[in-house]
Amino acid sequence: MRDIDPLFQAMSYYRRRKFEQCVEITSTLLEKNPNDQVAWLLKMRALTEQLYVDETEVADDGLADMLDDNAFHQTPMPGTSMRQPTANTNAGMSGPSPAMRPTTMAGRPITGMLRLNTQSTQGGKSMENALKTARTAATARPVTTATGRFVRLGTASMLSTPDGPFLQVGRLNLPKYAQNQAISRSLFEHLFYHANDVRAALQLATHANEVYQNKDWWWLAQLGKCYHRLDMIRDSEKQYVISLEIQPMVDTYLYLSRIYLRLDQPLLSITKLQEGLEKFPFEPCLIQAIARIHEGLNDMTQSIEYYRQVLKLDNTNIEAIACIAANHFYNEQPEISLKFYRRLLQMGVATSAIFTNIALCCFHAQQYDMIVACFLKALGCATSDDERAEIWYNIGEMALYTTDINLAIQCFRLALVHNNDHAEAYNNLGLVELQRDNNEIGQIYLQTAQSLAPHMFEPYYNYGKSMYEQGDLQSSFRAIKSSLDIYKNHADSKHIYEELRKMFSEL
Amino acid sequence: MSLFKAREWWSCQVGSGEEFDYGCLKVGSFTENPNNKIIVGSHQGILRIFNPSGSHVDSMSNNYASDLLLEKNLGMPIIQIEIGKFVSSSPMNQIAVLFSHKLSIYDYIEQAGVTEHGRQFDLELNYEHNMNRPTFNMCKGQFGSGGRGNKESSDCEYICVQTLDGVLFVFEYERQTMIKSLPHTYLPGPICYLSRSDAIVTVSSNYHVECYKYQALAIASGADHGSSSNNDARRKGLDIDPSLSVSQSSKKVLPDWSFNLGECALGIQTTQRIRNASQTILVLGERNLFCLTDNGQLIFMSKFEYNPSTFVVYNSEVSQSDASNPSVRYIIGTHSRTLFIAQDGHIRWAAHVDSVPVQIEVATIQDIRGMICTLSETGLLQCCYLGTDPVSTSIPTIMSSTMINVEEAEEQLTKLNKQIKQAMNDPTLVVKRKSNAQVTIQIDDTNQFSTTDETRFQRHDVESTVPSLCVNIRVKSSEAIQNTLLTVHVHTPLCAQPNEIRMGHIGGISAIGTASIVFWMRDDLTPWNLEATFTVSYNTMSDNVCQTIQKSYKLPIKLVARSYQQPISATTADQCKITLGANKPVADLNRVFPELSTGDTNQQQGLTVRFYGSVENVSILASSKSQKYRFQSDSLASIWLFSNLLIERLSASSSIEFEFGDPLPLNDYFSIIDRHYELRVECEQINSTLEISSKQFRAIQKRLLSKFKDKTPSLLDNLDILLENTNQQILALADRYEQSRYELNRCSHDLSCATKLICLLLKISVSLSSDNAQLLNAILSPVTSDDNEQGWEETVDAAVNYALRTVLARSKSAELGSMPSTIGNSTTNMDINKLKKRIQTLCERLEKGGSLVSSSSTRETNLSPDSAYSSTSLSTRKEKPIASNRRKKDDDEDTEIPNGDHEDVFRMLPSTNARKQYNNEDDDN
Repeated sequence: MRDIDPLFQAMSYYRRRKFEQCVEITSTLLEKNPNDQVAWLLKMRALTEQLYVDETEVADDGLADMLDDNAFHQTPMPGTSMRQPTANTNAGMSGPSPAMRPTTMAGRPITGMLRLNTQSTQGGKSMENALKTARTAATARPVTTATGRFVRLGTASMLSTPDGPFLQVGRLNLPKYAQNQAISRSLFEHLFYHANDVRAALQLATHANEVYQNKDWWWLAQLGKCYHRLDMIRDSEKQYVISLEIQPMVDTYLYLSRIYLRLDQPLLSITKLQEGLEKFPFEPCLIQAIARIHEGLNDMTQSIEYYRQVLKLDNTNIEAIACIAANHFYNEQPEISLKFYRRLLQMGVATSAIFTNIALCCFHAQQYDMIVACFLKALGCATSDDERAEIWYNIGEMALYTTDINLAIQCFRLALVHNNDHAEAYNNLGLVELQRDNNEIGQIYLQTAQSLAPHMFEPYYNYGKSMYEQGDLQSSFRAIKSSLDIYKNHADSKHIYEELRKMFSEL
Repeated sequence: MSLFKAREWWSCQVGSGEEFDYGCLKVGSFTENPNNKIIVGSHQGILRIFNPSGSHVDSMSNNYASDLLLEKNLGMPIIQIEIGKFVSSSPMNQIAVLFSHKLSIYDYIEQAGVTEHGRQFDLELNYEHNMNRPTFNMCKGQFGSGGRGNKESSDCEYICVQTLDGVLFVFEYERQTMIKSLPHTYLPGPICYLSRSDAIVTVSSNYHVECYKYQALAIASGADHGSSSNNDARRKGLDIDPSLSVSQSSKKVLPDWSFNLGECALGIQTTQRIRNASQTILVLGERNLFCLTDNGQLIFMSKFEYNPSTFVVYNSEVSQSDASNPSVRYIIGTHSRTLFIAQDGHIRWAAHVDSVPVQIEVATIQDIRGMICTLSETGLLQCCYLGTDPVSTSIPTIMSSTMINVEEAEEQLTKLNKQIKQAMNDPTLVVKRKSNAQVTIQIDDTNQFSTTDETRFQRHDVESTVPSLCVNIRVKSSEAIQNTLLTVHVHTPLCAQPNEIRMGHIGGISAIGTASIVFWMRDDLTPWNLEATFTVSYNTMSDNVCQTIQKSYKLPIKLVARSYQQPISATTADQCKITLGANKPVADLNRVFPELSTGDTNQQQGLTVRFYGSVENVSILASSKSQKYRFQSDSLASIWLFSNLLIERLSASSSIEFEFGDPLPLNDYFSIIDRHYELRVECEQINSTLEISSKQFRAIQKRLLSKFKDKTPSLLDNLDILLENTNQQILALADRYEQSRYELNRCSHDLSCATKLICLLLKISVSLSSDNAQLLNAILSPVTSDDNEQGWEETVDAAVNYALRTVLARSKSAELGSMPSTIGNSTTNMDINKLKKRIQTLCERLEKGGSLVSSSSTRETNLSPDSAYSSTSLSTRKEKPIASNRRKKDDDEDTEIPNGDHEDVFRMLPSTNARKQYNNEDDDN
């Protein structure tokens, strides 16, 4: 019986995404015959595919990006920029207030799903704020530079080829390869994703575009990608636009929208995505991108509207379900939220976060029988200390609601054992201690919470109130002012503020 | 992620250890019977035909023997299977099997037996085509019908085989009609036949969908059977028999149309053709699904959030009946084990399957239409339908849901709560338990010296081999301790290796942690302290409180100094001489310093030594006549260690008292202070220059960057040269800084030594009590820290100033609350002369009998300057030449302070009057 052809076997492995075996076979083929271009091409593709990252999802603006002055306006009109979503950071927000819905470190309402960029500052803060943000384990401080992640990808590629890099990038005759249509595209992807050599990739793309006389949308889009990676935003935009003129593609629209986000033009970004939607009316990715931008602009109603559209097209979209569920939860509709979370659970997303959320929904929907079981499951599912800390914190909240102070203290302490930077736990622990008349301990806890989470107004308010009650009016005034800085319309803070002001003016 | 599972109707594991890929599964029927049979061929060459009979009986036992109609080993790897009318004479369907080097057409023969079990099935080879190169895939179609394919011509189906190097072979039944190599094919892509335009659609290696008219291909394949051209370029060196090469026409075929996908494709399929309505082409890319019209226009695309594995386009009756609204339906299988059933761009249903499918087919089985057949790469063949079975995800079971005994649990809870409460409220609980562990450090001096040359001596004129000493440390504990860490600290010219030892767990009474540490002198600086400090930090097992114990150990002087045979000519060059008188006859220096003695006993009472890495001699002379010891050296600093050692050793053996009658060598001391201060200022200056030039460097960089970023290229304006120059300047400054730091370090060590010496001499000369000596040591601190903003000068100035104003104050104005204004000033602003003057005043006041111990402050010290002078005990007192006039002025000022203040009851609180006074005085100074 004749054996199967090794090249066919390799291609079959490639199809089935068994890239390691594919690389193995092609490597032996190349050992036998170093000039075998087909095997070389296949090996290159397999290596690339191992490290492929969807470029439309990459995120995390680095600190270096913040120094950039790509944004159009330094002081943009309200509602037109991620920097200043609305004129009044809180008043104009359509949706729940920070008192109801906690905010992220960047001052945005917490989102339903963790994805890249939700943790970072989203360019929404000035440089000083970014540097000022507390440095905890899960810090909101941006990565030092955008290249950090890419460098790691590059080293990952070194790992996958332990005998040294597959290609000697410096020795490639790029103009020659650019002539060869079949090889050049794979070579480009290899350079871009695997070798992580954007400069060489850019050269290749430039040569190829000369060959095609700028008529090939793919090469134009790739050129744009290179410029984007090199932070040449305007050049990148130009390439994407030409590429879209030749051939509209979903990915290109997404790239273009990312460019406008970098330029801090979220409305233009949405416009472009909507243009894309006219061409591809059934594309959930585009709608999802619009929803994310609206979320970034604090426009919750719009955002949820678009997430609903995503679900109409693709009812298995986890992000959309999670975001809608979170929105319902914070809008005091825990029963509806519970339904969404249950659906996620049924779809197989059995993480500790889901169980915790279900438990919280159950509590607020007054289905008390499920709470303990859900929390137990959540604790069982939890894989990281951070998750455990969050779960224990939430259990502590439940204990507070049921006025089981001792249990609450124990839970908060457990949360702090798992994550020593858990500001919310410190805050609540401080409150409990204040209530038990351990004023000094309580104030220390509150101060810790303040230093850990400068984005939360609660520790400031609590501290201010406790100081007010004790008669340290100066400290109280200072704390209340910080609280109002963070959340302008907090009524209780305003009340104390007014009283203090009256008192001071009488003096 | 999907809400529901695909419900399994029938399944079986095909073969074992066999591999399957796209193409290995085909569903079809051979007769008019609408029920489909499932044909599976493996890469190992075994063909199987299944006729699933239903699940209700057999699935429990997994007995599919009666469902397996035929299993045949065909002896060659099977790449693809097709069913169609491949024989012109027969109305029945045949099976086309594509092997790795061969295409065979088999007839399916079914012989009915008497009973159901008696039926026989067989495959009979109808014809075959051998191929000289490995095949890749095939498709069937009515090639050459010119797109007019009507009912009658659809009876005949031809086969097009694509080889691994991209050559198309078209077989019309037994005849081979065309060989044509597609241009630019490196890796062959999927192919399919487009019947409306009679064309073959494929995805080429350059990520384009290309459509070739069969007509164009057939013409181009033409006559000449010349040599192959593009193969050789691609797989150069691969020994292909030239006779095997296919006919290649010289002219290239151009595609009818092409569409740029931008990614490579996993599969390509078309919708079935209904009359003359246009067909739709679906391309499954790696990241997107593309839907094209049959003339190459994009209808829609959808982006995947997953990795697709395979797909199938299926036609339902709805779309057939309603041709005006052509919607395309397809199923995508993913590597995340989900089937997506989609219509156009909408995902209609998602179903979870048990394995990653490599091929999906839709079949009619047992009169059930729309059964989904999936095949995994390991050969799991499943027939599923869509249902609402929830996906059974493994939710972790936390605890058995046994009934909890409430009373017991409550009891346990209260017990635990009590314990917790106790632990939280009782602070002694923690403290009480820790005291049990007794940890001791034992030091065994092996006294074994070896030499090392791991030195960093900067003066190259001295040899760099110095002795090193190995010391064994034993840490004993009476109780088990953990996280034990031993750290060793020595003062800088000396170093310890290793200086940190992790001992981890030391358990039980007998267990001992041991370590051996090597000490040697690493830098060529004047040593000022030979003490080594061993610190052990540990946690006891019972609580997690970290505890430490410390032990210090004096290293032998032999580590840093050696005896030196002095050339006679150089004896008189010594600048510093310190003479100590003693009340006992002088001891034999060779006995006092046995480790430094040359062994030359007949030498007169004298010893000359040198520090390692130094060219300065220190000679110690003992004069038996006058009972005096004399130290001579080039610098004050080197004397300290030996004088201290001598005093220590002689005092240890007998109660001996020394006296020092000469004036303090303050001149030498002040020159060291001056030098130290100068160096500090220099370092600071270099630092600030460095800051300026690096600022400049960054500014130039920024300029350059904006120039490079600019759209319109402009001249660099020599900015690059400026950048280069600035860089060099920075480097030069950094070098200078390093050198200054080294000098500063040297000087600091000298200063430490000299300070200690001054303190020692002061102590001897006025025979201070030990309390006083300790305080003096604290005021004139030998610890120099050059890294802080606040250097030695500032701290000592502050301390001396404070001492002068409080305990040594002439008048008891008691300015306790005032702080000297020097702190916080930058180094350059400091008045070094004032410091020197103050130190001198301090010395004088001490000599006059002032005491530093605070109780003495109540003593009557209200002496006039003159009486203070006369009260000095030592007869050898001479007036010091330095700053004597200034001292007078100082004294005058002191007398200006009103004396009545010391009767103030609230001495601790400075009165405003006093503060004003103080400020005035400070201004005057």
